[in-house]
Amino acid sequence: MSSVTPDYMMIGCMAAIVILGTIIRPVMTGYLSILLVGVFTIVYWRTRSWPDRIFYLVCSGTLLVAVCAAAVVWEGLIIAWLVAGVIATVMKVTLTAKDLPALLAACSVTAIISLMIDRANHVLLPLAILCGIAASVFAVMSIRAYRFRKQYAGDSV
Amino acid sequence: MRLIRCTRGLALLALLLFSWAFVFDDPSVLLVGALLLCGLVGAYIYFDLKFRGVVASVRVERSLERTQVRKGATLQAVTNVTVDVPRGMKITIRENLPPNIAVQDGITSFTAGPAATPVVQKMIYRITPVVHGECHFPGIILSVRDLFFETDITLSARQFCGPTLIIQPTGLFESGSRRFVTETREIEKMAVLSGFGIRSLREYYAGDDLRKIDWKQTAKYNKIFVREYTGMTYLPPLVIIDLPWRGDAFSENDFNRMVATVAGLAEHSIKTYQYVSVLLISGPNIISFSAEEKDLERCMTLLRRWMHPVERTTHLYRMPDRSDLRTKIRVIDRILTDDQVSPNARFLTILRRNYQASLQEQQVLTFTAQVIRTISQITVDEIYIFTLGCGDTSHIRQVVRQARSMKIHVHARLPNGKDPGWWGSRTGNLGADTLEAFA
Repeated sequence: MSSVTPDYMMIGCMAAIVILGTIIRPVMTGYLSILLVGVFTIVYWRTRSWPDRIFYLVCSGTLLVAVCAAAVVWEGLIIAWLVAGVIATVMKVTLTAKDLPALLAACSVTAIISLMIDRANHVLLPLAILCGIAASVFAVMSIRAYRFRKQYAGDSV
Repeated sequence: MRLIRCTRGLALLALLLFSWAFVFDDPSVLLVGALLLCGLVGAYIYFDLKFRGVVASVRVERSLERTQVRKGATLQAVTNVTVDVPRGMKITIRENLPPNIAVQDGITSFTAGPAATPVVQKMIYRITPVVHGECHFPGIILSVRDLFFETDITLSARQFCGPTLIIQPTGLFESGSRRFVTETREIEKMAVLSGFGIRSLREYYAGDDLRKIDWKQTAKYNKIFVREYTGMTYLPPLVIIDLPWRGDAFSENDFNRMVATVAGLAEHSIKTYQYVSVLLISGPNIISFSAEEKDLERCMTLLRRWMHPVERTTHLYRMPDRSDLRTKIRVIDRILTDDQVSPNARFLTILRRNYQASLQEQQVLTFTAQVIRTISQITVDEIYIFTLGCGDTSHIRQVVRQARSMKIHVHARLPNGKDPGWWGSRTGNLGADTLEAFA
């Protein structure tokens, strides 16, 4: 019995988007994108029993997203979502109604970042903003973690 | 919080991508790096939320067999832990034990994977306090791990810690110079051995021995009563097992053979004599004593529970007895008498003076007193001592000497092939009546 699982469905979507992009914009990087979808599929298939499989998938996905985003940022974003979906499947993450707000928030944040990068003329400003936001998030999380540990661990923090 | 190897690789990749984007002003690479960073931050927030849920779900109930013990005593602790383990996470819970106790055996940690219902786990272990004072159980250590992150937290809030164990001190020496001798045991022993005890009285039947007639009862009831005396019986041996210290280097095979031999002897004793007495020691520490145990199953449970290497609270090292010191002084006296002009005479004089001073200050070891009290509780005429012969054997010498002073035969049993020279005694077998291998 053969059935199309979500991971292969997403890889199929990835290939379709890349091929469609290549048809619309016949440039050399389009062919490279198609090749990298193949590489991603091979990595996905070959690393099934490997430890740290996610790392290999992210590495192969990174190249694919970078090449796609070089043509159109939004195409790169969609490919990145699909790569994330495949990785979520690997992690056996099943989405429920409770996870929907988190999913929407993640999609929104990544879309805003893409928009910011798309609009910026140079890398420096978005890079600085990203680093600043990341540092702020980590600082807030650290303070929250400290207060939480203080509550449960007392003086041993 | 620590990063798993995979996450470290991803973080490094994000850093490389940002560097590439910064150097070559490449927005597509910046996008990839930014999305990767977003993923990592999101995974961290997700992990943090799950971690908080796990910590909030932990319930700990700890109970001790006793709350007040003497230093060196062993007691059982039971900790019930209830925890929710969410999807994709693995937790490990360890008892955060205070430093002044040693764990003898049992389970002090467990690992649990994701489960739909809360995980309930019971940790049962035995501890031995090694330092006196108040010992407060400071809680548990919770380790949480998912695919990207792992972290530890010491849960020491009020709901996770306690109870407090009060550990009373014990001395190494007994106060005063009182010698421990008991005579009641001898009297009881004589009564049994001579068969003077009266089991019951019954009416006289033709053919009964006239010497057994109880004239007092006969006169009282106007019927002839005869005495039925208790029969003569052999006494079962006392089995003393010297458990090895955890730090000792000993052969596992020898230890297993010792366990098997002790179990065999205990079973034989119960079947033959109806009961057996077992004293477990480890160095100069009394671990457990079972007096005149009649139930074979209970006896085996005792052996199964205690027969393993233990932590010692007190150690002896070449501890001389008073008679040892007197012997040494006598030897020095003989040498000095024979050869007064020897160049070693001054040294021997100083040595003799030191021995003399030690003799005057010598006190009875607490262990020795405990052994005497223990042996005095039961009627016994032979003792089997099982030991692996690891490390110092001063405590064995103490046991043998006291047993011999009570006119009890001592049979030492040690591993096959063990050099009897390890006894550290010129007599080779430490004064025991027999010395055999238990293999």
